[in-house]
Amino acid sequence: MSETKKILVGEDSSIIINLTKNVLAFENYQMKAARNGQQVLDLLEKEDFDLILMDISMPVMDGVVCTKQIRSLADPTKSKLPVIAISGNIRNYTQEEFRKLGFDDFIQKPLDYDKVLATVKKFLS
Amino acid sequence: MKSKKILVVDDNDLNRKLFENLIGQHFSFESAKNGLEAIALTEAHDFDLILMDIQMPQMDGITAMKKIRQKNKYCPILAVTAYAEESERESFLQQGFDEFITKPIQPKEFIKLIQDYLLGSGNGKTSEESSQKNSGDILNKKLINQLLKYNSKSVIKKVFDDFLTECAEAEVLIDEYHSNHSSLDLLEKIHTIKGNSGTLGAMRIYTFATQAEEYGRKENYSLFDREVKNLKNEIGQFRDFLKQEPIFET
Repeated sequence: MSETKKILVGEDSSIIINLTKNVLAFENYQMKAARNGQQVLDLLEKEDFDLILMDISMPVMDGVVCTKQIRSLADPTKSKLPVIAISGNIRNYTQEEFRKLGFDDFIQKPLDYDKVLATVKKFLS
Repeated sequence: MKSKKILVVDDNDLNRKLFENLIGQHFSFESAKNGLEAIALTEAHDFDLILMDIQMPQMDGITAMKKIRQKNKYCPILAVTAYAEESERESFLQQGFDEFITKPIQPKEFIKLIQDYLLGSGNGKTSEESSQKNSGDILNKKLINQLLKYNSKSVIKKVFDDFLTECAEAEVLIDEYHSNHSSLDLLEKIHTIKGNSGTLGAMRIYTFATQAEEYGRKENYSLFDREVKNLKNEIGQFRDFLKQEPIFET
């Protein structure tokens, strides 16, 4: 097996962070959490990740702004990382709109963890 | 209310498309072209509401409704028909439909009616029946089992403790809201509660949080007031429920 994949989760709810961590550990993915978009960018600057799960509504910097910033990073690997939106989708974006905002995929909250795992695997295998 | 799933039964392609477009903006749905297909679908999936055309080939809507009723007592089944007179309403209701809608429908009223049914305030059911139906959803066991697949019981317990803390914070904000009428922090909290309750299977909290958030965003404060009261009430019930729930004992 190749090296352990690292996933960064931008999410302000500790509940989702805790559950997601265990779900990802199930497939031997390593996870780090950031509580808002700014923290996501800070962590991404210091470390390498293979994929990002991104909540849309977060304090300080939301997931849409954060993803835009990631896409404009100078580092070509980091700017092209798969970013998957996880959201209650209050603004009712379509899949197409999520793509235009720079996301590679979208998972609707409430989270179905079978789906979370399947989606992550799709991008990392 | 995308979490709600509706079955649309109509043999006319154009009518069905119309319903699908309208319903699809608010809810999830599946479609059937006749009574037989409808029955097969209800056996394979759970629906929150069924819209049933009356005159269809293979099996008409009245027969299909009666067959579905034998297995499913509580799912609202609404008759939708083009040619009936309003005076036939009573006869449809007596046969077992929850509601009677004549085509052409008025989209706005139509959606409102469906929403009322989905929230359990439709007038087709007795309150005892609807509370029985809802009590199963205080905690969705299927979701819990899915979570237990990946998480130990102690993690689940910790997560539910965190959720109850969030709920307590929401309760404080709800009380504050009733005195100062500033809803911004409360809306943020309700949004969080909505996502987490859905993930954790606290479906009744999820329903009320979803409604409250929707009214709050639309600045419809009279309905928002009502829903946050309901939400607070529901949080109390959920807390009591968890105290008696043995699945979290490690």
